[in-house]
Amino acid sequence: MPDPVSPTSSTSRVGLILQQLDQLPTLPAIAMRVLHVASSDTSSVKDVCALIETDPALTTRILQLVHRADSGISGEVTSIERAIVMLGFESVRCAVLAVSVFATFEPASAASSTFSRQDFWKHCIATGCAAELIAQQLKTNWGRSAVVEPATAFTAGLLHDVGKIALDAAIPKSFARVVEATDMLRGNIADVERNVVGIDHTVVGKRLAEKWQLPAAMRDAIWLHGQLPQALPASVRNDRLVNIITLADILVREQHLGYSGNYTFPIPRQILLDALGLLPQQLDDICAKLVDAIESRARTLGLGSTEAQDLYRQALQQAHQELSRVTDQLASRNRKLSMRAKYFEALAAFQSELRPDAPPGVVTHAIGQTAAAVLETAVVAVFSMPPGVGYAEVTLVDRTGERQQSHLIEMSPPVESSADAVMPERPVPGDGPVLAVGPNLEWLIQAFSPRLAGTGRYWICLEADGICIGGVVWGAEAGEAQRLSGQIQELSALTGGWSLALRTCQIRDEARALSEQLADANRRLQSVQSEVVRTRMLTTVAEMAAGAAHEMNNPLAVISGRSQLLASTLSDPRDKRSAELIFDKSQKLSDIITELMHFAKPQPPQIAPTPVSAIFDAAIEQAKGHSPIADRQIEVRVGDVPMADVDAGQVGSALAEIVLNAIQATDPAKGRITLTASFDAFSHRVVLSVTDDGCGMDDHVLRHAFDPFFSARTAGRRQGMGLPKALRWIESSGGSIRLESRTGAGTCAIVVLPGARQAKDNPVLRASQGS
Amino acid sequence: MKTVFTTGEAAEICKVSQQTIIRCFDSGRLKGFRVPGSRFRRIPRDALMAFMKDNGIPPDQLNNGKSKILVVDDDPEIVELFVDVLERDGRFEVKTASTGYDAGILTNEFRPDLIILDYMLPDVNGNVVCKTIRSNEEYNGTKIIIVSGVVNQDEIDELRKSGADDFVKKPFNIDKLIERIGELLAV
Repeated sequence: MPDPVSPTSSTSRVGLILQQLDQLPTLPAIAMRVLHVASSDTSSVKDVCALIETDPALTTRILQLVHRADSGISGEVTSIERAIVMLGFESVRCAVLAVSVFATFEPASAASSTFSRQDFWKHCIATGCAAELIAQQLKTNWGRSAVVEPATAFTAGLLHDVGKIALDAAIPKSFARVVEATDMLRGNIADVERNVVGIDHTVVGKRLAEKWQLPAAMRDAIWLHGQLPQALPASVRNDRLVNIITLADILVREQHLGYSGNYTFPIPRQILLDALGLLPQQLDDICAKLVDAIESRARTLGLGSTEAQDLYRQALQQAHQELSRVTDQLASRNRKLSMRAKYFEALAAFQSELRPDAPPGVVTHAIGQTAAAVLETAVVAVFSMPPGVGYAEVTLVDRTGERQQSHLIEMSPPVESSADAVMPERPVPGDGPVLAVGPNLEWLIQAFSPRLAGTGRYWICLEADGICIGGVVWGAEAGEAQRLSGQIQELSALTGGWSLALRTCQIRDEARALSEQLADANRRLQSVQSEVVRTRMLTTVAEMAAGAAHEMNNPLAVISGRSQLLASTLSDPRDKRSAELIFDKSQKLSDIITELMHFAKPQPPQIAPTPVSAIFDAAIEQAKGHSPIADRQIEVRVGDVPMADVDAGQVGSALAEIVLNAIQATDPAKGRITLTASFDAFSHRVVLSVTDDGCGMDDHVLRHAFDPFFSARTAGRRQGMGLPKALRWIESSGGSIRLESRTGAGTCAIVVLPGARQAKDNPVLRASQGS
Repeated sequence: MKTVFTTGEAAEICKVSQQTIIRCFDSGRLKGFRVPGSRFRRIPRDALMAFMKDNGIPPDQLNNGKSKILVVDDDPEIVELFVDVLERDGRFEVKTASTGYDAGILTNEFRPDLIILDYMLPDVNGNVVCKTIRSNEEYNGTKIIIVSGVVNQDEIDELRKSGADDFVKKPFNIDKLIERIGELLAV
């Protein structure tokens, strides 16, 4: 870009340029004279004719020009005077003007090497011709109201870029820079002129027009051509002429006729057509006639060396050159774009594969697919290696998109590792995106190399915070890095995306694992807490029971003692019986308190190997003592079960409570209770079950079955301490109870007890258990 | 209460001749002392009781034929109940105390054959009283039954180690209690 020009230097330079313009040659006297003769002034016209005819060369040229311009009457025009009669003074005046201007800026006097005057004049003539044709068409369309004479349009078109030639003549070096810059930028020459010299050719042209005292309409066409019709100042008298010149200029440049030094078409054709009242078809006709018209005019003006075919050829050549230049640019841009498009497509495919909650396997697969696409290889291996873990997850991806299985490779060496096993170590990020596989990826290569193409092994490191968190490994022939060197930028961008996606899902995975661990810890904490609550409750019950035992037993002792004394003194049997009842019940109350204390603070268990059958026998015996068996069937099935390491008395009593519950839940006539024992060798535990076909329990009862004083029987309730006591006793022997029950379907109590430690290997104990 | 006996009184209590008492006194089998400045023999109550026990002489005459029982409990109604129960039986002479301190003084003064001792006393626990009494050889023959509302096997075992002869849980069966007392005193 040209250096920006400061306002002061710009102003002074503009002044300098204008000064230079003053030194430009004036129009020949004859042209000046012609310009200032009014067509109505017949005597003056005659004077001018005479003046022209004094210059035979000029006369010939003008006659030729007039002749060509209006071929229909050409044969009759043989003198200037005749021409004026036939064509009107205006046409003659234009011809004089055109010829004079050309004479002023002789093609040979070109000062600039880059600015081709020859081609430039061709552009000017072409614009003049086009303007003339447009004006003719308008005249056909609109008749006399068309306002613009074709001859005037031609002259205006011819002179519309006179400012450029003036600049070239006045400041050839600066103007050469302008032309170069415009060529390079393929921009609007007026913008560059303003940037480089501080003034553009339209203003220069206006000044020149003023100096030459050209008619105002012509001056405006030179000054304002190229402007939008709507943007023209109100002071412009003949805006139609300006629009004709603008349209002609665009038309000629589109046809690549001559060289204007301008590359932009700022105004759409249609706007000008609308402004002028011209049809697109008419414009096409004008274009068709244009080349012939130019040829004849160019010849007339001394530029006639070019034939119509030449002009076409040159135009075509020029158009072709320009086209090929543009094509070259487009092609290189296209190559770049198509390569980028490949990456964009890959990126789009990659993103469509990803879900917000995609696990690492899905992400590595998506990475693998896009990698296979952009690297143009069939199979890639993608590995994910979250920071701080001892393994890598490797996904092999086929370009067909078929998802291969993911493999986990442990990084920490197993104890009995064979000598040749290669342990994965965390690779380190390299300099560029495309790296040759080094020894630190040997673990992956060893496992997957046969699946990869080519002989060379390459990889792209996916990193986060400077740590390798994964990578893409593929196979290719040597020189892969060279092949991809033109795509480094795109590959790096894609790699960044991959890394981000992989790290995100790794973090999500870590968070998921963490939340699972937390949930697990929470669960464990919860169960511990419920255990703590239960223990605290039992402690409270124990303290309460102990306090109650002391506080209540004294009054109870008095009640009990006094009732006994009473009973022994009373003679009436009914009174005696009442006193005895008081004694009994106070004793019963005392028993409840004692039981509560025992529940809260059980006796330490006396653990000893105990045969299961003995436990069952004791339990059934105790249960029978509380509730009659009646016709219920009790079946005991004890297989080959080792002894249990328990407190025989407590566990027996616990089982008795369970059997008692079973008895009370079943029908006395046909109830069925089954006691079984089995052995879980894995946990080394003895599993007892007591199953009944009784009334079962609903959820509410089941949930509270082990709560002290809870009883399902609202009427005739027992103490509600049976199962709670059983649980305490079994727990103190290191066992556990689980209840399974459904209303109407019976209940199954499963009691798990620790197996005797030596029982398994001690035949004596086994034998005694069997007996 | 009479604490020192003459040989004549001792002979009457033991239902033997005075000569026998004198012979036993002189040979040392019956412990005693002579009144200072004279030859008169005197026999302390404890020595007489030991002599009677050693020789299988029934002690009926010494205590009007009744065993002495000390009831220790801070609950007056419990104390009253025990007194009523024991006196109704007729074989026992009963005194009461409501603290461990009183129990100590009365044991020394009343020299009970059996102490019914509440475990939870306001000043010291029954096992401490029990240990203190057992640490004095003088009371080797005194039986101790501990009574408590709290029943815990460990505590019962501990009490037995402290020297208690039996343990009774409140509330208790009167008949069984009397039976147990009779066994312990062998009356």
